[in-house]
Amino acid sequence: MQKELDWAFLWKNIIAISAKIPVTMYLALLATFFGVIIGLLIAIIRIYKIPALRWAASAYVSFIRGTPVLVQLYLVYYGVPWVLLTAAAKLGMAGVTERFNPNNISPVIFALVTFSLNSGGYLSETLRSAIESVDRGQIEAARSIGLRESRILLKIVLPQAALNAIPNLGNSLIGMVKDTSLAFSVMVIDVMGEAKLIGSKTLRYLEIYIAVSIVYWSLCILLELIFGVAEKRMKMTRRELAE
Amino acid sequence: MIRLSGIEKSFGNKRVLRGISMTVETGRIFAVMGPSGSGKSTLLRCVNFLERPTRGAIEAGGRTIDANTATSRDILFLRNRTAMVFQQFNLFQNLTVTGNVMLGLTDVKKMNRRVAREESLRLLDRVGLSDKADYYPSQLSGGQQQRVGIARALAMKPDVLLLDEPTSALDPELIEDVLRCIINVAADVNSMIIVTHELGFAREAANTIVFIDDGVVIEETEAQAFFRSPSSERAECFLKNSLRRHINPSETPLERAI
Ligand SMILES: Nc1ncnc2c1ncn2[C@@H]1O[C@H](COP(=O)(O)OP(=O)(O)OP(=O)(O)O)[C@@H](O)[C@H]1O
Ligand SMILES: [Mg+2]
Repeated sequence: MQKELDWAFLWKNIIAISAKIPVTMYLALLATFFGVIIGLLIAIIRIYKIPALRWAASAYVSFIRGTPVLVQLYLVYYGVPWVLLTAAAKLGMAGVTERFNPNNISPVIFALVTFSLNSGGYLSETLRSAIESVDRGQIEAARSIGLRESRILLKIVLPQAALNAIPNLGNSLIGMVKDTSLAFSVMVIDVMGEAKLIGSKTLRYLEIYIAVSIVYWSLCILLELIFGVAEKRMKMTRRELAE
Repeated sequence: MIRLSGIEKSFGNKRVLRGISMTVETGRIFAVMGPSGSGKSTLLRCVNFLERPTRGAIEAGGRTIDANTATSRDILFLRNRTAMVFQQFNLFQNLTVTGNVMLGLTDVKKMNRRVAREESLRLLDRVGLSDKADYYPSQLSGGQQQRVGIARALAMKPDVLLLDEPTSALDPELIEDVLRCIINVAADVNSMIIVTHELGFAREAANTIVFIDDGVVIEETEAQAFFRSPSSERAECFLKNSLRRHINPSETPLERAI
Protein backbone atom coordinates (compact mmCIF):
# COMPACT_ATOMS: atom_id res chain seq x y z
CA MET A 1 0.00 0.00 0.00
CA GLN A 2 1.11 3.54 -0.80
CA LYS A 3 2.42 5.51 2.20
CA GLU A 4 0.35 8.55 3.25
CA LEU A 5 2.13 11.94 3.12
CA ASP A 6 3.25 12.89 6.63
CA TRP A 7 2.12 16.52 6.92
CA ALA A 8 3.48 17.06 10.41
CA PHE A 9 6.89 15.78 9.29
CA LEU A 10 6.79 18.06 6.26
CA TRP A 11 5.92 21.12 8.31
CA LYS A 12 8.57 20.40 10.93
CA ASN A 13 11.22 20.12 8.24
CA ILE A 14 10.25 23.30 6.44
CA ILE A 15 11.33 24.98 9.65
CA ALA A 16 14.47 22.87 9.99
CA ILE A 17 15.50 23.60 6.40
CA SER A 18 14.71 27.31 6.74
CA ALA A 19 17.42 27.53 9.36
CA LYS A 20 19.91 27.31 6.45
CA ILE A 21 18.42 30.25 4.51
CA PRO A 22 21.24 32.51 5.80
CA VAL A 23 23.84 30.21 4.16
CA THR A 24 21.99 30.29 0.84
CA MET A 25 21.46 34.05 0.96
CA TYR A 26 25.07 34.65 1.99
CA LEU A 27 26.26 32.68 -1.04
CA ALA A 28 23.78 34.28 -3.45
CA LEU A 29 24.32 37.87 -2.29
CA LEU A 30 28.11 37.70 -2.19
CA ALA A 31 28.29 35.86 -5.52
CA THR A 32 26.06 38.49 -7.13
CA PHE A 33 28.15 41.27 -5.57
CA PHE A 34 31.43 39.86 -6.91
CA GLY A 35 29.62 38.98 -10.13
CA VAL A 36 28.76 42.66 -10.63
CA ILE A 37 32.42 43.62 -10.19
CA ILE A 38 33.68 40.93 -12.58
CA GLY A 39 30.86 41.62 -15.04
CA LEU A 40 31.59 45.33 -15.02
CA LEU A 41 35.28 44.76 -15.80
CA ILE A 42 34.39 42.46 -18.68
CA ALA A 43 31.75 44.83 -20.00
CA ILE A 44 34.23 47.71 -20.00
CA ILE A 45 36.91 45.60 -21.70
CA ARG A 46 34.45 44.65 -24.43
CA ILE A 47 32.88 48.07 -24.91
CA TYR A 48 36.21 49.89 -25.10
CA LYS A 49 37.68 47.01 -27.13
CA ILE A 50 40.81 46.86 -24.95
CA PRO A 51 43.26 44.97 -27.20
CA ALA A 52 44.86 41.98 -25.43
CA LEU A 53 42.13 41.50 -22.83
CA ARG A 54 39.35 41.58 -25.36
CA TRP A 55 39.63 38.02 -26.64
CA ALA A 56 40.24 36.70 -23.13
CA ALA A 57 37.02 38.32 -21.99
CA SER A 58 35.08 36.86 -24.92
CA ALA A 59 36.50 33.39 -24.27
CA TYR A 60 35.62 33.66 -20.59
CA VAL A 61 32.02 34.66 -21.24
CA SER A 62 31.66 31.99 -23.89
CA PHE A 63 33.00 29.30 -21.53
CA ILE A 64 30.71 30.35 -18.66
CA ARG A 65 27.69 30.33 -20.94
CA GLY A 66 28.69 27.13 -22.67
CA THR A 67 29.27 24.82 -19.68
CA PRO A 68 26.92 23.71 -16.86
CA VAL A 69 27.33 25.43 -13.48
CA LEU A 70 27.75 22.03 -11.88
CA VAL A 71 30.76 21.31 -14.09
CA GLN A 72 32.22 24.72 -13.26
CA LEU A 73 31.75 23.95 -9.59
CA TYR A 74 33.67 20.67 -9.84
CA LEU A 75 36.39 22.34 -11.91
CA VAL A 76 36.98 24.92 -9.20
CA TYR A 77 36.64 22.38 -6.38
CA TYR A 78 39.24 20.00 -7.79
CA GLY A 79 41.18 22.43 -9.95
CA VAL A 80 42.03 25.26 -7.56
CA PRO A 81 43.77 23.06 -4.91
CA TRP A 82 45.66 21.27 -7.66
CA VAL A 83 46.85 24.54 -9.18
CA LEU A 84 47.88 25.90 -5.78
CA LEU A 85 49.74 22.73 -4.78
CA THR A 86 51.48 22.43 -8.14
CA ALA A 87 52.51 26.05 -8.10
CA ALA A 88 53.82 25.78 -4.54
CA ALA A 89 55.84 22.68 -5.43
CA LYS A 90 57.28 24.29 -8.56
CA LEU A 91 58.25 27.41 -6.65
CA GLY A 92 59.87 25.30 -3.91
CA MET A 93 57.38 26.45 -1.30
CA ALA A 94 56.12 23.03 -0.22
CA GLY A 95 56.57 24.18 3.38
CA VAL A 96 53.82 26.74 2.94
CA THR A 97 51.30 24.14 1.82
CA GLU A 98 51.99 22.11 4.96
CA ARG A 99 50.82 24.91 7.20
CA PHE A 100 48.17 26.02 4.74
CA ASN A 101 46.79 23.05 2.86
CA PRO A 102 44.52 23.97 -0.08
CA ASN A 103 42.65 20.73 0.51
CA ASN A 104 41.40 22.18 3.80
CA ILE A 105 39.84 25.27 2.23
CA SER A 106 36.18 25.50 3.26
CA PRO A 107 33.84 24.26 0.53
CA VAL A 108 31.84 27.48 0.89
CA ILE A 109 34.82 29.33 -0.57
CA PHE A 110 34.88 27.07 -3.64
CA ALA A 111 31.16 27.55 -4.10
CA LEU A 112 31.52 31.30 -3.70
CA VAL A 113 34.35 31.46 -6.24
CA THR A 114 32.40 29.40 -8.77
CA PHE A 115 29.14 31.30 -8.45
CA SER A 116 30.93 34.67 -8.57
CA LEU A 117 32.75 33.70 -11.75
CA ASN A 118 29.55 32.30 -13.21
CA SER A 119 27.42 35.29 -12.38
CA GLY A 120 30.18 37.63 -13.63
CA GLY A 121 30.01 35.98 -17.05
CA TYR A 122 26.27 36.36 -17.34
CA LEU A 123 26.09 39.81 -15.74
CA SER A 124 28.72 41.16 -18.15
CA GLU A 125 26.09 41.02 -20.90
CA THR A 126 23.41 42.65 -18.73
CA LEU A 127 25.81 45.38 -17.66
CA ARG A 128 27.08 45.88 -21.17
CA SER A 129 23.62 46.60 -22.49
CA ALA A 130 22.87 48.83 -19.47
CA ILE A 131 26.01 50.83 -20.25
CA GLU A 132 25.34 50.93 -23.98
CA SER A 133 21.80 52.18 -23.44
CA VAL A 134 23.14 55.41 -21.93
CA ASP A 135 22.44 58.24 -24.38
CA ARG A 136 25.38 58.77 -26.79
CA GLY A 137 24.61 62.48 -26.94
CA GLN A 138 25.51 62.92 -23.29
CA ILE A 139 28.82 61.15 -23.85
CA GLU A 140 29.57 63.48 -26.76
CA ALA A 141 28.62 66.48 -24.64
CA ALA A 142 31.07 65.32 -21.97
CA ARG A 143 33.78 64.89 -24.61
CA SER A 144 33.05 68.31 -26.05
CA ILE A 145 33.95 70.01 -22.76
CA GLY A 146 37.20 68.04 -22.56
CA LEU A 147 36.44 65.26 -20.08
CA ARG A 148 38.65 62.18 -20.28
CA GLU A 149 36.99 58.88 -21.18
CA SER A 150 37.55 57.41 -17.70
CA ARG A 151 35.89 60.42 -16.05
CA ILE A 152 32.97 60.22 -18.47
CA LEU A 153 32.49 56.58 -17.51
CA LEU A 154 32.58 57.37 -13.81
CA LYS A 155 30.55 60.59 -13.76
CA ILE A 156 27.99 60.12 -16.53
CA VAL A 157 27.77 56.57 -17.83
CA LEU A 158 27.96 54.33 -14.76
CA PRO A 159 25.47 56.27 -12.60
CA GLN A 160 22.87 56.05 -15.37
CA ALA A 161 23.73 52.45 -16.27
CA ALA A 162 23.24 51.42 -12.63
CA LEU A 163 19.63 52.62 -12.73
CA ASN A 164 19.06 50.77 -16.01
CA ALA A 165 20.51 47.56 -14.57
CA ILE A 166 18.60 47.28 -11.31
CA PRO A 167 15.61 45.22 -12.58
CA ASN A 168 17.96 42.72 -14.24
CA LEU A 169 20.17 42.51 -11.17
CA GLY A 170 17.08 41.49 -9.19
CA ASN A 171 16.35 38.67 -11.60
CA SER A 172 19.91 37.58 -11.56
CA LEU A 173 19.98 37.43 -7.74
CA ILE A 174 16.84 35.28 -7.78
CA GLY A 175 18.46 32.99 -10.33
CA MET A 176 21.53 32.77 -8.15
CA VAL A 177 19.48 31.77 -5.08
CA LYS A 178 18.29 28.74 -7.03
CA ASP A 179 21.68 27.96 -8.60
CA THR A 180 23.37 27.83 -5.20
CA SER A 181 21.39 24.66 -4.51
CA LEU A 182 24.17 22.93 -6.46
CA ALA A 183 26.68 23.87 -3.76
CA PHE A 184 25.68 20.73 -1.90
CA SER A 185 27.63 18.76 -4.50
CA VAL A 186 30.82 20.10 -2.90
CA MET A 187 29.55 19.52 0.66
CA VAL A 188 28.17 22.98 1.43
CA ILE A 189 25.28 22.63 3.88
CA ASP A 190 22.88 25.25 2.56
CA VAL A 191 19.09 24.94 2.22
CA MET A 192 19.47 22.13 -0.31
CA GLY A 193 22.29 20.48 1.65
CA GLU A 194 20.22 20.34 4.80
CA ALA A 195 17.28 18.89 2.87
CA LYS A 196 19.42 16.15 1.36
CA LEU A 197 20.89 15.25 4.75
CA ILE A 198 17.44 14.96 6.35
CA GLY A 199 16.22 13.02 3.33
CA SER A 200 18.94 10.44 3.53
CA LYS A 201 18.49 10.04 7.30
CA THR A 202 14.68 9.64 7.21
CA LEU A 203 14.21 8.30 3.67
CA ARG A 204 11.05 10.43 3.37
CA TYR A 205 12.34 12.06 0.17
CA LEU A 206 9.03 13.24 -1.23
CA GLU A 207 8.10 15.24 1.89
CA ILE A 208 11.60 16.69 2.04
CA TYR A 209 11.58 17.83 -1.60
CA ILE A 210 8.14 19.33 -1.15
CA ALA A 211 9.46 21.14 1.92
CA VAL A 212 12.59 22.40 0.17
CA SER A 213 10.65 23.61 -2.85
CA ILE A 214 8.30 25.54 -0.56
CA VAL A 215 11.31 27.15 1.10
CA TYR A 216 12.91 28.20 -2.21
CA TRP A 217 9.63 29.33 -3.66
CA SER A 218 8.79 31.52 -0.65
CA LEU A 219 12.28 32.97 -0.66
CA CYS A 220 12.06 33.93 -4.32
CA ILE A 221 8.56 35.39 -3.95
CA LEU A 222 9.88 37.50 -1.10
CA LEU A 223 12.83 38.73 -3.18
CA GLU A 224 10.55 39.49 -6.13
CA LEU A 225 8.34 41.58 -3.85
CA ILE A 226 11.33 43.48 -2.52
CA PHE A 227 12.65 44.25 -6.00
CA GLY A 228 9.16 45.10 -7.20
CA VAL A 229 8.84 47.73 -4.48
CA ALA A 230 12.35 49.07 -5.18
CA GLU A 231 11.58 49.39 -8.87
CA LYS A 232 8.29 51.15 -8.25
CA ARG A 233 10.05 53.57 -5.91
CA MET A 234 12.64 54.31 -8.55
CA LYS A 235 10.05 54.91 -11.22
CA MET A 236 8.16 57.15 -8.83
CA THR A 237 11.14 59.33 -8.05
CA ARG A 238 11.80 59.52 -11.78
CA ARG A 239 8.24 60.61 -12.42
CA GLU A 240 8.39 63.11 -9.57
CA LEU A 241 11.53 64.47 -11.14
CA ALA A 242 9.83 64.73 -14.48
CA GLU A 243 7.01 66.83 -13.02
CA MET B 1 41.17 82.47 -33.09
CA ILE B 2 40.59 79.17 -34.74
CA ARG B 3 41.72 78.15 -38.21
CA LEU B 4 40.52 75.18 -40.22
CA SER B 5 42.71 74.16 -43.16
CA GLY B 6 41.59 71.73 -45.81
CA ILE B 7 39.23 69.72 -43.61
CA GLU B 8 38.03 66.58 -45.36
CA LYS B 9 35.76 63.92 -43.97
CA SER B 10 34.53 60.71 -45.56
CA PHE B 11 32.18 58.11 -44.13
CA GLY B 12 33.15 54.96 -45.96
CA ASN B 13 33.49 56.13 -49.55
CA LYS B 14 30.98 58.93 -49.09
CA ARG B 15 32.87 62.24 -49.13
CA VAL B 16 30.95 64.57 -46.85
CA LEU B 17 33.51 67.37 -46.47
CA ARG B 18 35.80 68.11 -49.42
CA GLY B 19 38.47 70.47 -48.13
CA ILE B 20 36.99 73.20 -46.00
CA SER B 21 39.10 76.11 -44.80
CA MET B 22 38.10 79.09 -42.72
CA THR B 23 39.59 81.37 -40.09
CA VAL B 24 37.45 82.70 -37.29
CA GLU B 25 39.26 85.59 -35.63
CA THR B 26 38.66 86.48 -32.00
CA GLY B 27 35.53 88.57 -31.64
CA ARG B 28 33.93 87.21 -34.82
CA ILE B 29 30.69 85.30 -35.16
CA PHE B 30 30.32 82.99 -38.14
CA ALA B 31 27.02 81.52 -39.24
CA VAL B 32 27.22 78.37 -41.34
CA MET B 33 24.26 77.90 -43.66
CA GLY B 34 23.45 75.46 -46.38
CA PRO B 35 20.96 72.82 -47.49
CA SER B 36 20.21 69.74 -45.43
CA GLY B 37 22.90 67.08 -45.75
CA SER B 38 25.52 69.54 -46.98
CA GLY B 39 27.88 68.65 -44.09
CA LYS B 40 27.32 71.50 -41.61
CA SER B 41 27.00 69.29 -38.53
CA THR B 42 29.90 67.15 -39.64
CA LEU B 43 32.05 70.25 -40.03
CA LEU B 44 31.33 71.43 -36.46
CA ARG B 45 31.93 67.93 -35.12
CA CYS B 46 35.29 67.80 -36.87
CA VAL B 47 36.39 70.98 -35.09
CA ASN B 48 36.40 69.24 -31.69
CA PHE B 49 37.14 65.77 -33.07
CA LEU B 50 33.77 64.28 -32.16
CA GLU B 51 34.35 63.10 -35.72
CA ARG B 52 37.98 62.66 -36.63
CA PRO B 53 38.60 64.48 -39.93
CA THR B 54 39.99 62.28 -42.69
CA ARG B 55 42.45 65.00 -43.66
CA GLY B 56 43.25 68.59 -42.74
CA ALA B 57 44.47 70.61 -39.78
CA ILE B 58 43.01 72.76 -37.04
CA GLU B 59 44.94 75.59 -35.46
CA ALA B 60 43.92 76.85 -32.03
CA GLY B 61 45.66 78.14 -28.92
CA GLY B 62 48.97 78.46 -30.76
CA ARG B 63 49.07 74.81 -31.83
CA THR B 64 48.33 73.21 -35.16
CA ILE B 65 46.74 69.80 -34.90
CA ASP B 66 46.83 67.62 -37.97
CA ALA B 67 44.08 65.05 -38.43
CA ASN B 68 46.54 62.36 -39.44
CA THR B 69 48.85 62.70 -36.46
CA ALA B 70 46.53 63.96 -33.70
CA THR B 71 47.13 62.14 -30.40
CA SER B 72 44.50 61.84 -27.67
CA ARG B 73 46.41 64.59 -25.86
CA ASP B 74 46.06 66.88 -28.90
CA ILE B 75 42.37 66.12 -29.03
CA LEU B 76 41.93 67.01 -25.34
CA PHE B 77 43.84 70.25 -25.99
CA LEU B 78 41.44 71.11 -28.78
CA ARG B 79 38.39 70.19 -26.72
CA ASN B 80 39.62 72.37 -23.88
CA ARG B 81 39.61 75.33 -26.26
CA THR B 82 36.22 74.69 -27.79
CA ALA B 83 32.76 74.00 -26.42
CA MET B 84 29.60 72.88 -28.11
CA VAL B 85 25.87 73.48 -27.87
CA PHE B 86 23.87 70.59 -29.29
CA GLN B 87 20.63 70.47 -31.21
CA GLN B 88 19.24 67.92 -28.72
CA PHE B 89 20.73 69.75 -25.67
CA ASN B 90 22.45 66.55 -24.43
CA LEU B 91 22.31 67.55 -20.77
CA PHE B 92 23.63 65.08 -18.21
CA GLN B 93 20.42 63.53 -16.91
CA ASN B 94 21.95 62.31 -13.65
CA LEU B 95 23.12 65.78 -12.62
CA THR B 96 21.23 68.89 -11.57
CA VAL B 97 21.33 72.05 -13.63
CA THR B 98 24.20 73.36 -11.50
CA GLY B 99 25.89 69.95 -11.70
CA ASN B 100 25.79 70.15 -15.48
CA VAL B 101 27.48 73.54 -15.55
CA MET B 102 29.98 72.67 -12.79
CA LEU B 103 31.28 69.37 -14.13
CA GLY B 104 33.69 70.87 -16.65
CA LEU B 105 34.94 73.40 -14.10
CA THR B 106 35.72 70.89 -11.35
CA ASP B 107 36.79 68.03 -13.57
CA VAL B 108 38.58 69.66 -16.49
CA LYS B 109 39.62 73.04 -15.09
CA LYS B 110 40.29 71.49 -11.64
CA MET B 111 38.50 74.38 -9.98
CA ASN B 112 37.67 74.22 -6.29
CA ARG B 113 34.04 73.08 -5.83
CA ARG B 114 32.91 76.19 -3.99
CA VAL B 115 34.38 78.52 -6.59
CA ALA B 116 32.96 76.37 -9.39
CA ARG B 117 29.50 76.50 -7.84
CA GLU B 118 29.61 80.29 -7.58
CA GLU B 119 30.79 80.56 -11.17
CA SER B 120 27.99 78.21 -12.30
CA LEU B 121 25.36 80.21 -10.48
CA ARG B 122 26.68 83.37 -12.09
CA LEU B 123 26.39 81.78 -15.53
CA LEU B 124 22.90 80.44 -14.81
CA ASP B 125 21.91 83.95 -13.84
CA ARG B 126 23.37 85.12 -17.15
CA VAL B 127 21.04 82.77 -19.08
CA GLY B 128 18.11 83.60 -16.80
CA LEU B 129 17.89 80.32 -14.91
CA SER B 130 19.17 81.07 -11.43
CA ASP B 131 15.84 79.87 -10.00
CA LYS B 132 16.27 76.42 -11.60
CA ALA B 133 19.73 75.68 -10.19
CA ASP B 134 18.69 72.56 -8.27
CA TYR B 135 16.29 71.14 -10.86
CA TYR B 136 17.06 68.09 -12.96
CA PRO B 137 17.09 68.48 -16.77
CA SER B 138 13.92 66.36 -17.11
CA GLN B 139 12.05 68.98 -15.07
CA LEU B 140 12.79 71.76 -17.57
CA SER B 141 11.25 72.88 -20.85
CA GLY B 142 13.28 72.48 -24.03
CA GLY B 143 14.13 76.16 -24.10
CA GLN B 144 15.34 76.07 -20.51
CA GLN B 145 17.37 72.93 -21.19
CA GLN B 146 19.07 74.59 -24.12
CA ARG B 147 19.94 77.62 -22.00
CA VAL B 148 21.57 75.25 -19.50
CA GLY B 149 23.48 73.77 -22.45
CA ILE B 150 24.67 77.27 -23.32
CA ALA B 151 25.74 77.97 -19.72
CA ARG B 152 27.58 74.63 -19.59
CA ALA B 153 29.51 75.54 -22.74
CA LEU B 154 30.22 79.13 -21.65
CA ALA B 155 31.66 77.87 -18.36
CA MET B 156 34.61 76.45 -20.28
CA LYS B 157 35.54 79.93 -21.60
CA PRO B 158 36.24 78.47 -25.03
CA ASP B 159 38.21 80.18 -27.78
CA VAL B 160 35.35 79.23 -30.03
CA LEU B 161 31.81 78.25 -29.14
CA LEU B 162 30.21 75.82 -31.59
CA LEU B 163 26.43 75.78 -31.88
CA ASP B 164 24.70 73.19 -34.06
CA GLU B 165 21.14 74.29 -34.86
CA PRO B 166 20.54 75.25 -31.24
CA THR B 167 16.85 75.97 -31.75
CA SER B 168 15.69 73.46 -34.32
CA ALA B 169 14.50 70.92 -31.72
CA LEU B 170 12.41 73.53 -29.92
CA ASP B 171 8.71 74.34 -30.06
CA PRO B 172 8.24 77.56 -32.06
CA GLU B 173 7.21 79.60 -29.03
CA LEU B 174 10.47 78.72 -27.24
CA ILE B 175 12.85 79.56 -30.09
CA GLU B 176 12.85 83.30 -29.54
CA ASP B 177 13.93 82.94 -25.91
CA VAL B 178 16.97 80.88 -26.80
CA LEU B 179 17.99 83.08 -29.73
CA ARG B 180 17.80 86.14 -27.51
CA CYS B 181 19.90 84.29 -24.93
CA ILE B 182 22.60 83.54 -27.53
CA ILE B 183 22.72 87.17 -28.64
CA ASN B 184 22.95 88.22 -24.99
CA VAL B 185 25.93 86.05 -24.21
CA ALA B 186 27.69 86.69 -27.54
CA ALA B 187 29.51 89.63 -25.97
CA ASP B 188 31.18 87.28 -23.43
CA VAL B 189 32.35 84.79 -26.02
CA ASN B 190 35.66 84.88 -27.86
CA SER B 191 34.21 83.67 -31.12
CA MET B 192 31.35 81.52 -32.37
CA ILE B 193 30.45 79.25 -35.23
CA ILE B 194 26.70 78.76 -35.43
CA VAL B 195 24.92 76.39 -37.75
CA THR B 196 21.42 77.75 -38.17
CA HIS B 197 18.42 77.88 -40.45
CA GLU B 198 17.09 81.03 -38.78
CA LEU B 199 17.73 83.72 -41.40
CA GLY B 200 16.74 86.69 -39.25
CA PHE B 201 18.94 85.46 -36.45
CA ALA B 202 21.92 84.88 -38.73
CA ARG B 203 21.55 88.35 -40.19
CA GLU B 204 21.35 89.95 -36.76
CA ALA B 205 23.94 87.94 -34.85
CA ALA B 206 26.61 86.94 -37.33
CA ASN B 207 29.44 88.97 -38.85
CA THR B 208 30.11 86.47 -41.60
CA ILE B 209 28.01 83.90 -43.40
CA VAL B 210 29.68 80.74 -44.67
CA PHE B 211 27.50 79.06 -47.24
CA ILE B 212 28.22 75.35 -47.67
CA ASP B 213 26.87 72.94 -50.23
CA ASP B 214 27.91 69.35 -50.79
CA GLY B 215 30.90 69.62 -48.47
CA VAL B 216 32.42 72.68 -50.12
CA VAL B 217 32.42 76.34 -49.07
CA ILE B 218 30.50 78.07 -51.84
CA GLU B 219 30.97 81.53 -50.44
CA GLU B 220 32.12 83.36 -47.32
CA THR B 221 30.50 86.78 -47.23
CA GLU B 222 29.96 89.58 -44.75
CA ALA B 223 26.47 89.03 -43.27
CA GLN B 224 24.69 92.20 -44.39
CA ALA B 225 26.02 91.80 -47.93
CA PHE B 226 25.05 88.13 -48.00
CA PHE B 227 21.42 88.87 -47.22
CA ARG B 228 21.31 91.86 -49.56
CA SER B 229 22.66 89.81 -52.45
CA PRO B 230 24.73 86.65 -52.09
CA SER B 231 27.51 86.33 -54.62
CA SER B 232 26.79 82.75 -55.64
CA GLU B 233 23.80 81.52 -57.53
CA ARG B 234 23.38 78.54 -55.23
CA ALA B 235 23.18 80.72 -52.13
CA GLU B 236 20.69 83.00 -53.85
CA CYS B 237 18.54 80.03 -54.71
CA PHE B 238 18.82 78.71 -51.14
CA LEU B 239 17.79 82.08 -49.70
CA LYS B 240 14.83 82.36 -52.04
CA ASN B 241 13.62 78.91 -51.05
CA SER B 242 14.10 79.63 -47.37
CA LEU B 243 12.25 82.92 -47.61
CA ARG B 244 9.39 81.30 -49.46
CA ARG B 245 8.96 78.95 -46.52
CA HIS B 246 8.17 81.90 -44.27
CA ILE B 247 5.07 83.85 -45.21
CA ASN B 248 6.94 87.03 -44.53
CA PRO B 249 10.72 87.17 -44.13
CA SER B 250 10.47 89.74 -41.35
CA GLU B 251 8.44 87.19 -39.41
CA THR B 252 11.43 84.94 -38.68
CA PRO B 253 11.65 84.43 -34.93
CA LEU B 254 14.57 86.71 -34.34
CA GLU B 255 12.96 89.69 -35.99
CA ARG B 256 10.23 89.30 -33.45
CA ALA B 257 12.83 88.90 -30.73
CA ILE B 258 14.59 92.15 -31.49
N1 LIG C 1 28.21 58.96 -38.82
C1 LIG C 1 27.88 59.01 -40.12
N2 LIG C 1 28.00 57.92 -40.91
C2 LIG C 1 27.68 57.96 -42.20
N3 LIG C 1 27.22 59.05 -42.84
C3 LIG C 1 27.07 60.18 -42.12
C4 LIG C 1 27.38 60.21 -40.73
N4 LIG C 1 27.14 61.46 -40.28
C5 LIG C 1 26.69 62.15 -41.33
N5 LIG C 1 26.66 61.41 -42.45
C6 LIG C 1 26.25 61.85 -43.79
O1 LIG C 1 26.96 63.02 -44.10
C7 LIG C 1 26.16 63.93 -44.80
C8 LIG C 1 26.19 65.28 -44.12
O2 LIG C 1 25.57 65.16 -42.86
P1 LIG C 1 25.45 66.38 -41.86
O3 LIG C 1 24.68 65.90 -40.69
O4 LIG C 1 26.77 66.96 -41.61
O5 LIG C 1 24.56 67.40 -42.70
P2 LIG C 1 23.92 68.78 -42.25
O6 LIG C 1 24.39 69.80 -43.20
O7 LIG C 1 24.19 69.02 -40.81
O8 LIG C 1 22.38 68.52 -42.49
P3 LIG C 1 21.11 69.04 -41.65
O9 LIG C 1 20.85 70.44 -42.09
O10 LIG C 1 20.03 68.12 -42.07
O11 LIG C 1 21.45 68.93 -40.21
C9 LIG C 1 24.78 63.32 -44.87
O12 LIG C 1 24.60 62.78 -46.13
C10 LIG C 1 24.80 62.24 -43.82
O13 LIG C 1 23.99 61.17 -44.21
MG1 LIG D 1 23.00 69.08 -39.07
